[in-house]
Amino acid sequence: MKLLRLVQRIMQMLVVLAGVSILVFLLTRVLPGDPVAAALGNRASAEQIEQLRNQLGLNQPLVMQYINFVTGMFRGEFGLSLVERRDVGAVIAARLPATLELIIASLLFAIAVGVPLGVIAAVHRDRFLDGFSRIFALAGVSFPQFWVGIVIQLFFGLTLALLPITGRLSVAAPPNVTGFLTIDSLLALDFTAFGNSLQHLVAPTIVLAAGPLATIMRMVRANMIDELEKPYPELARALGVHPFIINYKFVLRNAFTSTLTIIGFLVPIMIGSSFVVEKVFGWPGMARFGADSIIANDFNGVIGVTMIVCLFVVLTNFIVEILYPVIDPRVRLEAGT
Amino acid sequence: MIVRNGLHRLRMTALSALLASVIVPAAQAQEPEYALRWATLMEINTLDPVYQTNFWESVSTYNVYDTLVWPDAEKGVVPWLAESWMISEDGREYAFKIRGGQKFHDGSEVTAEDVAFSMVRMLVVNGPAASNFRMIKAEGVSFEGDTVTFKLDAPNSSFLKSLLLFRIINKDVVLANLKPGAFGEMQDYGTDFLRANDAGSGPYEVADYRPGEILRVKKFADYALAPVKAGAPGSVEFQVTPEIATIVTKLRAGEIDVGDPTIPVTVQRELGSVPNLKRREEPIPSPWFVVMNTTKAPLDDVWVRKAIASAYDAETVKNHILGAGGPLAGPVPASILPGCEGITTYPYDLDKAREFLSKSKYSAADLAKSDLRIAAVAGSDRFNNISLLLATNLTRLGIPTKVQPVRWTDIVAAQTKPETAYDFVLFYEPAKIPEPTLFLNYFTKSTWGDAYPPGGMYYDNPEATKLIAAGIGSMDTKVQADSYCGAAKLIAEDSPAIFSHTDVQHVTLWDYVTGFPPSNGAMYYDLRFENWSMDAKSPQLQANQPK
Amino acid sequence: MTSEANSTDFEPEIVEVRYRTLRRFFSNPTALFGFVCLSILVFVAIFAPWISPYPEDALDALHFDRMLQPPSAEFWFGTDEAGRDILSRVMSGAALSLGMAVIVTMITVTVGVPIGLVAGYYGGRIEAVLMRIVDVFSSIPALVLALGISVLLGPSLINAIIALSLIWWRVFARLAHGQTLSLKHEKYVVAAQQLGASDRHILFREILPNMASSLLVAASLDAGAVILVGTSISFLGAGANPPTPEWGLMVATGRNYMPASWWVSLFPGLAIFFVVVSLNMIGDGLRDVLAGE
Repeated sequence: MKLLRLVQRIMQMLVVLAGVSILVFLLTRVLPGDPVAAALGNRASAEQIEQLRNQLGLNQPLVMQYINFVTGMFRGEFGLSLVERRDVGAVIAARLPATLELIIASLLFAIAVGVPLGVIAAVHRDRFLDGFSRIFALAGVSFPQFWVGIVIQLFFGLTLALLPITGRLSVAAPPNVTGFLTIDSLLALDFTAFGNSLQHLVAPTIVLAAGPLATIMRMVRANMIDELEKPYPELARALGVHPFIINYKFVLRNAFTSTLTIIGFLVPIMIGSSFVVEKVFGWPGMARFGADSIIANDFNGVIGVTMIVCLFVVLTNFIVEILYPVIDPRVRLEAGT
Repeated sequence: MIVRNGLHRLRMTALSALLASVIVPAAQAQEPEYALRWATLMEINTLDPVYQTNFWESVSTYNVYDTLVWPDAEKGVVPWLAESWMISEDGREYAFKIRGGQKFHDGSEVTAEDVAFSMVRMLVVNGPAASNFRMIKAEGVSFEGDTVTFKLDAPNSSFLKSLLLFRIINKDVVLANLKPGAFGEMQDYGTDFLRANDAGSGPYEVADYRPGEILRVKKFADYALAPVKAGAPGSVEFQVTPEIATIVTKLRAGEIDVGDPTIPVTVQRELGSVPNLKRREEPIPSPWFVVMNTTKAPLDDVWVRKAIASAYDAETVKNHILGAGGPLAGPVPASILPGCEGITTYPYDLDKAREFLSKSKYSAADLAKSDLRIAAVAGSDRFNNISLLLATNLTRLGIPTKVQPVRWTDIVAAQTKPETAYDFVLFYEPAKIPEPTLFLNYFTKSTWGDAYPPGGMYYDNPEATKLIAAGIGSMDTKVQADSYCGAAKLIAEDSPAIFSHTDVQHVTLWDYVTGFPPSNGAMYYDLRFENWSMDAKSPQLQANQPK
Repeated sequence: MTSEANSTDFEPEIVEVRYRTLRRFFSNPTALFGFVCLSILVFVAIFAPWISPYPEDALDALHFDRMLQPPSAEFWFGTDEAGRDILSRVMSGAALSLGMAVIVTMITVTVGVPIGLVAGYYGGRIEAVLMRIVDVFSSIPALVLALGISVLLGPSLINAIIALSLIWWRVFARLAHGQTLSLKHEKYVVAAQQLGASDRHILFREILPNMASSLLVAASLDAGAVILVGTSISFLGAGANPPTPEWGLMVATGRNYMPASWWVSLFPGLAIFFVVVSLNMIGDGLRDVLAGE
């Protein structure tokens, strides 16, 4: 029964991925716009343009192009990027770790700050701290991120001179193992590089995490209040358990499961936001390449980045679904009956 | 020079460096070297001189690779990697003797074979750089001993100056790094390798390249072609920073030493008040045009075009929208075609414009029905404001016109056909070499339909075309100057484009940096960093350098 | 509005409940604040052409002789890079941003909710197909897809609205689907089914009114998100075109003149902030009020 459900979910995922590939493929090929001429720089001749069109396979029938694209994808090839002049697969492989590192850091930050703030807000319900955190949360989701990014750069980078303004690293890079600079530098026991890469992470992480942090906080608060109104915290309190333990052990554990579910909802939003954040902070990630590809009509780049982004969103949701019963015993029980 | 190079070699091994510091106090005498840091608004996507298209890619390749010739204010070009050259009587064969003793970054010598290989590769691969070399085919390239010969399809007096755009790559390194590709036995012709790697002989070699993030080049110790200035940066760093506001912040914070020329002039003027920052203002011969599609009514009427040119308020564009700008009369900037007097200009004058309109074959009622479009590159407030100013004035003149922001890729694609080409396109042409035909060719049939804004003009004046051909075919500089001047006058009279102004480049930099030696009219040559210097005595330099 | 099955007899009580809800809404400080802010913005949006100091500056007027002037008595919010009064432009921009949010939300609710209702109510193959389509659109981040579509259609405000509408329906489809799944087993639905009511009646008269409150909360929260995504599209160069006084575009243009001419991007940025905060506060307040019932 459980295995069947798993297989079903994987099938669903494949259907969604196939759907996305068709949608994006059609969007980039059918709508007007010819990027090839511009890719050759100034004064490209008709012959030069034709040569590149052939190279890109644009003179083949649409169905053939799609088949080539799908078969290529299984080899990890997404076709030539007009922007970077190499296979989109190679570009993504080189740039994905930077984006993932930023998103994971932001997610961890959002959870690490958002959950305790949510608990505090719930415990101090309708009092000053609650009101304050509510305004904080609402502000977090209401500012245009690029603008906040520029202001943070001015304040922390220029006025206080605390943080580097752009980039990922300003010292020698550790040997590339995972592509995550924080992990690679630790593996190489290079603490200078570790500290330096952490410093570079701070500002973009804050900007990217602000929205999700607020969402998590509101979610935890709402669920905590629900849980606090249930009988068992009351019972525990009657039994003389310290309120701190009640809040964090009994209630938070239950509230945490709901946080887990919205991670699936937050990840696509964060990937979307990273299109903006990576540009402001000169972050050499895949999202910036994606944004550049879209603007330059680099169709192979657009399709490649979208497919990878989609894969991550789908996988995140899948993992959340698997983890859910592990964390929340009630779901496990329900599933068993 | 030699001593410094010797010390460099010493530094190559850790052991000798250690010995030097222990035994020889002279190690202290060696001047410390500094990193010159830039922020680049655009991505550095390739290091291949055949494929680079944007300003920053070019700046990096011009430091990593060397050229056969060097720009000169009087002679046009002077010998560089080529020691000397001979031109055949018929003006078709150019034989270059390659200077001996010049090394590539891998230590091998630069030979005539490398030069021939570089030219053939450029022409066969047919990347963007090949667009400047339509006068020669791969079959026309040969070499023997220390001499390489280029046989042109027809005599062409612009060839020598075009060679300023031709960079020499290391044949052996390329051949050792071929990957599967479309060029027969040459496979991919090294395009995959050269995109991210160095095969040059220039004064700087690639030290670190992380696409999308950073390119660092360091001084090439064995560079022997020209003296390297004392205090020249030991390394140059290009930090990709796609936001103007962020570049300004980094400049003020001392995270970079030089700002970007694309920072709005108004912002740069404000930056001037920051202590230790200086602003450099330099007129450059790069023109701004508004090209017209001369096949479309009413732009097919010369009087309408003259009226439109008179309705263009170049002074406001220069003084307010852009903050700076030099004069421009006709299609060629004066510094590229000096001494050409009497070119018709169209100062902003709406009364004059109405007078021109009254001579046109279109009635006021006809004109009032027109619905013209100015294509402005989407996302640029400056392009949009200039276009808006023109549209406002044209509408006031009785020719209803609107601004249409379009992606660059779409503008370029539209220009390839007269039916789709925009009525007007505002564009800026970087003058890469001081060669009049670079601009004049846009006003001949030979560039009709090119994937570039002027490709959409579809304008031709047979008399001007004849004059341009005469200039190209002649080796006599006087004949060249006279023919080009004659052509420029004819073209200006026909007004197929609004010749707006020439650019004045503004760059804000920290005052410890001395740079921008004369470029002699060739772009990028003032950005050869062996001719720059950084003042080691400046406390700001010490404070700003990365720890 | 309410279902016919439980009408007439209970009318006074329903009015009473509504009144109480309304009172609770307005006694909720967050909701009240949001409502007041939004009302002001709507007022400004409607009357901007008459009350703004330089109405012509909202369009394509150019005054290069007074460009980038700091805030003063004459120009409260300063002037932009073409010498236009920023206050006037911010006021005129209210109609565009609010309009965009309202249009996109209306279109996507109208399209998305029926899809979710049908999928949730009928289940089976219809549900599988519809919800997979929703999944396809949900697995691409809104900004990415909206940016892509907007660029492909050609950068303009209308196209940004089309792009946002093409993707945002999924939010309401999914919400309606989830709600329908839980509501379709409610007693009154089952009762209506047994009484032989048509599917249409059940879907739109029984189920839909009962999810109205959740939809209202989601719509007010999503309207704010729509504005922010629209802003980001403008920032990346694919949204409204100059000289449209669209706030996102104004912030995006003004950022190039920061920090010296901070006012060019600050005021439209604050405007965005206020409208999004107001919408979020209303949504947040509504949720509290409706959850309390």
